[in-house]
Amino acid sequence: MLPRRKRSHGPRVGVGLALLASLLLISVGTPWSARAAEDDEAPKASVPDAPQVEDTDKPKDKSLLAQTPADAAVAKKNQSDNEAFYQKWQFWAVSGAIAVGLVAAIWGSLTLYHSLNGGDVRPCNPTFINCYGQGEPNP
Amino acid sequence: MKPRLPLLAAILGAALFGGCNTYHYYDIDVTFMSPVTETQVSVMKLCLVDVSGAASDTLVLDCPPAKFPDLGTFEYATFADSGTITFTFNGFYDLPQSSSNQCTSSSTSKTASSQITQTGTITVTDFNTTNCPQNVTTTP
Repeated sequence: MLPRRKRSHGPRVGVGLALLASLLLISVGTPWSARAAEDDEAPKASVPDAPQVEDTDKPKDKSLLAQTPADAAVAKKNQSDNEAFYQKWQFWAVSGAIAVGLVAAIWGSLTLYHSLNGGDVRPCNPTFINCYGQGEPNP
Repeated sequence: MKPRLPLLAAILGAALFGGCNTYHYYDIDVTFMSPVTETQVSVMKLCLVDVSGAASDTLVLDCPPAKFPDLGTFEYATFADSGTITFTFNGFYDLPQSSSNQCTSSSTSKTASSQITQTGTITVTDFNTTNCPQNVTTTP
């Protein structure tokens, strides 16, 4: 005698769930179903198409369009960022400082070199018949 | 930056306080003394001072001397700060200079030191009349 097979309901339940899911997806995905949720809203008046050149986003409040100090600062910064390096005062300040420093360094070096080599000979005493030797114009 | 400051200070210190050239001056007076006469001196055409020793040079003085008996003082500048410097006055009858036309020669020596200015005197006391005869004027 063969054992009695246990009856299984799995395939039937699976098919039922698949059908239910399909119905839900269809009902959510269709436009009429979406509009159905808004059916209680009043119908909107049709808005005529605005010309493309007209900026409908432009605010009516003029104060919003007025430039603020922050805008001016940003504009100034952008302008300064666009300047060439030689148009900036910092460039000329640094260049001037370097030039002055260079001249001072050269002058100081020459003075130091001259000093290391004895410096200037003292002026010739006018009562002397002449002055000679190192540093003197006379041979 | 800090390690460079002592180096800079050392260089400046060396430049200002030593280790470099410093002028030293020798003020030498040239004087003629008897028996040398003004007439004798007036025949010289070339007056030189030879500097020898710690310094080396040849100085040309105005000749014949405009003043007598004190020709005047000349100053010689040198960096030498050690050794002996000799100043020799040589008077010549004519150019070019040679022993055969030398009229007189006298010298003085000074010791070079850290002293900035030294004075000295060259006293001329002899005159070679053979090499340097007086101008003879003849009447026709």
